[in-house]
Amino acid sequence: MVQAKVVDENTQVFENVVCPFCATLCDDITVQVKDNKVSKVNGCNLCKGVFLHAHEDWTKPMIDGKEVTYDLAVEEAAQLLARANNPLIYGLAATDVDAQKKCVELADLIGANLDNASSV
Amino acid sequence: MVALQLGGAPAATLGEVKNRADLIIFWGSNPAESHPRHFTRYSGTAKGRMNPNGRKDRHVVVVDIRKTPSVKYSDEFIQIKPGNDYEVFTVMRMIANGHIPDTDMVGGIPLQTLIDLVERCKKARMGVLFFGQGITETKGKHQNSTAIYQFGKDMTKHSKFLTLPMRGHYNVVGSGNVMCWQTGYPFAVNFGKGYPRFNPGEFSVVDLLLRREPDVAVIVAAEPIDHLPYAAAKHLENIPTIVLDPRKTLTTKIAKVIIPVKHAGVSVEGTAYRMDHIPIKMQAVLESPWPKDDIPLSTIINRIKKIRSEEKKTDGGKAA
Ligand code: SF4
Repeated sequence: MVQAKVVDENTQVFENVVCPFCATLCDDITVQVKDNKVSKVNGCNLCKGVFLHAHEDWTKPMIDGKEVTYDLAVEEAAQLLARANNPLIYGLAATDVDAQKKCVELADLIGANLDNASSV
Repeated sequence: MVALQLGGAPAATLGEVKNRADLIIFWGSNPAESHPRHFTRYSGTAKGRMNPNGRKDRHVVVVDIRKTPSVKYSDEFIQIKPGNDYEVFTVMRMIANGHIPDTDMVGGIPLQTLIDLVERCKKARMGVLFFGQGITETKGKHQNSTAIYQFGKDMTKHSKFLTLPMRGHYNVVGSGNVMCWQTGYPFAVNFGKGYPRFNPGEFSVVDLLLRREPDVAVIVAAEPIDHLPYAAAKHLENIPTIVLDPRKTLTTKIAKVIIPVKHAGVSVEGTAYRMDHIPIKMQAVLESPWPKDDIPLSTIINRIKKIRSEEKKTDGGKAA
């Protein structure tokens, strides 16, 4: 974990941050965070797009458009997948390797198709 | 990816590109818009050990179907007719191997331009051809990349020469690497028989969805509703789709179940693979109340195991 410089009570500055947008993965970004929102970032426009909007539009656990508890959403997912005949697991390109590995484990357990953006 | 399996290719890190390459070709790739800092950090203006003057020490060529914003950063722009990449690379291979075809133009490019380009590639201290989606997503698809890798192989007889894909999403390389390491195959894998089978065209996402085969989908950190062809993505609306994503997307809009997760590289640490296959540790700068995505995935895995063992027990009871 990078050590954040504390500017004041609510503001921290992180240096040498990695930009999780394109596969250039620039590792020299400076990010200023105020009240858990990115207030300043010095990467390219795409990088700014990621960090400056990162606090917006967070998801909530939902089933059929209704907010539910986290446990219920996970349980519903497990029930659906336990009964699936030919499930598909897709994505993986915008998360880290631990999650990717878990996707493989899940696919193996339920006999799923597993694909990522390389095939598109 | 398929092209790579067919031909293989020499590799190098972006650091080596920065330090050594004196010829850079962007083919069907528009880094000024898709990878804006690639040029300044590695392939264009960056100063390196053998490129002490940065940009002045490199010759940069852009080959594309239109004058993209990247062209103004190049020394040379070659305009190619759409869908002619395979043909052009085939002719470049002919030229490289001493056969000059009897024609003036190939794929909208004057033959002499290609002869000069091949000559430049042969003479380079280190040449790097970065190719983008302009190649892999047009007519010919992986055959185009195969032709590129073969051209690269021909060039290695004369100079250090690399052909590297400009990968898009920040950890698409990681997804291929993890799948290879775990299943033996980089994508389009099916576990239906209890062991991994690989068959692009059969188990690849667009083909599966077009044939409307999946009955449940799990989407992890991706936006298929936006990125896949409409006819394929539409099937996701007709089946229960489970989405794990930190933020609302067009795909969460059609989801039956949404599971919020931390945002890798923003609200949680994690490892991702750069386009040159170098693993990079990402940091967290924000706090999020949700768990990292591998945690709900683990819970789902354990829960399914439990549901199955309970089912077995009740079945067993009935049989007795
Ligand atoms: S800063 Fe720009 S070039 Fe670098 S990884 Fe982020 S999006 Fe890509």
